[in-house]
Amino acid sequence: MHNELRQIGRVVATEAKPSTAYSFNFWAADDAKVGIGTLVVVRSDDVEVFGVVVDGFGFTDLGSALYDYIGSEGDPKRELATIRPEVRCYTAAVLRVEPEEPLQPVPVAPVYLADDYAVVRALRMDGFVGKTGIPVGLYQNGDLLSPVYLDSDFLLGPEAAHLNITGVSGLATKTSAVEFILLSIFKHFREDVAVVCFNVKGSDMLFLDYPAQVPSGHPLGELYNEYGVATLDQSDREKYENLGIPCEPFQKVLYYAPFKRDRANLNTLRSNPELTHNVYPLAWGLNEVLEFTEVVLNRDDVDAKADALIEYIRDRVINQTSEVGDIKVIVRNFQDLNAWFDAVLKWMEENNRSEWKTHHYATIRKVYNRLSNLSTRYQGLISPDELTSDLPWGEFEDRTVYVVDVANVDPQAQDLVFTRIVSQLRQRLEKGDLGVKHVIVVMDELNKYAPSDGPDTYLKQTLLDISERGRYLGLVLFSAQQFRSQVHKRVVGNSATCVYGRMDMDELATPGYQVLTSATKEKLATLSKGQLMIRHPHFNQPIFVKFPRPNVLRGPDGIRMFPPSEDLALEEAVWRNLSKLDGAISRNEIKDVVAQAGDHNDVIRAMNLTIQRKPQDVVSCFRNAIRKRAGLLNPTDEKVPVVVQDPDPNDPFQD
Amino acid sequence: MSDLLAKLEKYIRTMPRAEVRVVVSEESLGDQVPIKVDAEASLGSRDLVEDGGICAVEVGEPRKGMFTCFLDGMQRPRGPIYINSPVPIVYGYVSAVIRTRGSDRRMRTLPGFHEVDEALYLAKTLAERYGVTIDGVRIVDTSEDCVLEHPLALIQAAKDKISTVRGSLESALAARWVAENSGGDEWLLVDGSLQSDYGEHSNIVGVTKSHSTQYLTWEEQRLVLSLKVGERSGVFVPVVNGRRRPVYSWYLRMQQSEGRDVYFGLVRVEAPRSVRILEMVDELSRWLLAERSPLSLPDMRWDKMLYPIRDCEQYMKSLAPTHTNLDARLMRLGMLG
Repeated sequence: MHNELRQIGRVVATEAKPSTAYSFNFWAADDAKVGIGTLVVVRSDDVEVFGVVVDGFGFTDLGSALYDYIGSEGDPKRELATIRPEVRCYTAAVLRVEPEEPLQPVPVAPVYLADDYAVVRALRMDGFVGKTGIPVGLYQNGDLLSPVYLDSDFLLGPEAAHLNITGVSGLATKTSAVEFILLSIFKHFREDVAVVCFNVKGSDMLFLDYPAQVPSGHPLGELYNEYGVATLDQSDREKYENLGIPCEPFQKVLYYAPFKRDRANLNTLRSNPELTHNVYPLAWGLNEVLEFTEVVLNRDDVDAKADALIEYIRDRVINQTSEVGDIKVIVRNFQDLNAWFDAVLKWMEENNRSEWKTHHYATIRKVYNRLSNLSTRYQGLISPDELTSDLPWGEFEDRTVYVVDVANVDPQAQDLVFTRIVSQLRQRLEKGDLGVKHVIVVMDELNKYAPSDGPDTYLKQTLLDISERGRYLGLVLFSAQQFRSQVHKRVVGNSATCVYGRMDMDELATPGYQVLTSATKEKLATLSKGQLMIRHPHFNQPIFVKFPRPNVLRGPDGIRMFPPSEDLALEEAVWRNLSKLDGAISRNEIKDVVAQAGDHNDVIRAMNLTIQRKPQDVVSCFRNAIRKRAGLLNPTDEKVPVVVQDPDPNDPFQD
Repeated sequence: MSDLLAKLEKYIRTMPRAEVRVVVSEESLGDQVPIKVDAEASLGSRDLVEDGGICAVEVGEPRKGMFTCFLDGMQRPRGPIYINSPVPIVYGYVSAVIRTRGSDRRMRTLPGFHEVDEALYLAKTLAERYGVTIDGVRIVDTSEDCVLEHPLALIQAAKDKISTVRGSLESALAARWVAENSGGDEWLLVDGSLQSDYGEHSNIVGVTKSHSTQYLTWEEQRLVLSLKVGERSGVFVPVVNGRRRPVYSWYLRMQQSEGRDVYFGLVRVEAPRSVRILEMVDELSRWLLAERSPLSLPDMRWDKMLYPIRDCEQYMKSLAPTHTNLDARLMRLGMLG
């Protein structure tokens, strides 16, 4: 079907610059709206060629700059009687040829600007638009804005998967692009999908549930006005309309962050009381961590002997009654484990044994030392007691974003968080009991976490694993970085879809960008906010698109409007955390109970137990837990799990 | 590209026995073949018009003029071709155009003012004597232009005829332009001498780059050759073969010639013979000086070639069948024999 297209030029083929099957040159009218990235159509009687402009050059009949200088008598202001004709020629790379066979050099024929339909065909989107198409932006051809779609089969699996974004920092393009693409996926992807977003720096991802602009009359309207939050303009809204994406923030977002070292306040910038309703602690106990000893322990420490002991502890000690001499111990947390080690070492010393269950004294001492330090080293993330607060494994919900804020956590803890969460996602997706079929893991700063050089870390291995195997499971990586050239080749190489924002020229000079023409590189180096270059398996050549600003409150604006709370006093922090279980409890009630506690740790432990149990009567549960630790437990009070040491009837020191 | 040569090929194929010989690399048949009067040095004479004779006159600072249209012609001869006879057949492509310069100072073709003529030039009577009667293509008979039945003379006659046809095309275009723009403010600048009498009120000026015809005395010529940039000679009426041409003419130095050929940057201007023109000589000269920029480099004749005229030339060349194309066509003809 031939539509009426606007002719803008004509193919030229010279001996010096011939047409080939993959590229051609054309000149365009002076007023033709052609530039780098423009999609064009060449039509002859028997073939239709779709191309994208990758280079441009203009020239006159001037043989040397000297001629112009002489002709102007060296005076640049001198008005020439005649303006030299200036021709603007463009080089286009072939995107598609119809019919595909025989593949011949592009004919010398008229060149037209592509319209909506031609854009769809040029980018081979006709095969998936309306089925698996995910709008990713608008391609601008003159005054025309045509939607560009990605194929979800190649973005989220199973054919291919993953998306990688590169761009300089500071323009918010990477974050905005990810947010926009996720919003588009939530609207257009036909299967269930959730997002796990690792916030590794600042406040970029901490306000995903707040709009950039509120409608008039909104309760927060005044606050937005007061802080002069940048609003979306009409062109943004038109783009949303054009792409069929609602102009709104994410509807369901849950935030997770480890505690600070005080284990009472969460280690996140989203700590303003207005925002904490959907912020949850990320705290793991012994069970969760022991699976990942390779991650949390120094690799040199975990030799075969240590590994065997850890394996023994995992199999025979954790969550079961084990005997150390005559003592029976149940280990449920790090405190219990410490007690168990103490008991084992004491038994060996008392019985003058160098081995216990074939494990040497030195090995036991070493593993004890390393494991007992974990709750200190990872204070805030690894809880010494039974508290476990984790992502809702098995209950992941469709179209929900789970933000894990590890921005203020040290790199080792980030390593553990990322490795364990991804590992859990993989296992659950394999078993099909995560709650959703697809999960997108969003990860920034890939330069740092999966560098092309540097030591192998578990985090890097995990990223490689997602990149290479994730698509079969529905586990997809959306990664971002400033310098793509410095990211591990297998991570970026496995990203079927690559997005580029404004780039640094030094980065563009690296070998990975040799396939781009110098003009394309120049354009990449000067891209403005809201413009991207996209590579996707269906597109033979990179395509430039514009995307609207996400209607999501930017991190810096959010921080200004909702400044993080100062660290709360213990009583206040406990009250805040327990209020989430029961909004009716009063500060004084909590204050009274805290006053009965022995020390800070007892309060924290009691609070954690209460949070974990989610009881009907929050204050009673909390009080009971405190009393238990303080030895004030009433017979009717609920039992708190602790190390169980069966009484020895023959113990002479027994009361 | 050339329908004419395709038709000739078709004609040759219909001949029962054709012996075809083609010459394709005749350098003398380039695009720049001058018309006959300028081809060889010749002497003319003059009638002086101004009181001061041929003395140098400073015309003043260059000034943006009213030249809005520019006329030039081109010719592209190829061959000769011999078909079953020693009578040379010369292919000739001739073109003329008027390009107009708009208020944006860009050049465009004036609609309806681009003429093309493609023909075979041969002494028809002589060819017919050898049984060569070519049908279906445009033939220009040179029989009357050549009295000597000699192949070289016949080739020269064909070349001259091509130049004449080109001159006719140019004259016709100029005449039509003058007729359509009578009484207007716009002026037409023609490459070469004015070959017709366009009337004393017509706004037309010719600029000749070649100086093969010497109209002035030796002493006057010495004065002309020593003109400095921005100076013109006195006005005269050129006389050729005893006939006063219907134009006023004067020399104008466009570029510095120190250290170069004495003719460097020297043009001869022609304009209709009228009192009005006589009053405008300095002004027209200033207009011409303003046309020096942009320079016509890299054209070899850049010192005298006005840029808009070069533009006309480029335009015509871009539409003319290329030498390569013509040679290829001719080679095909040669292979038929």
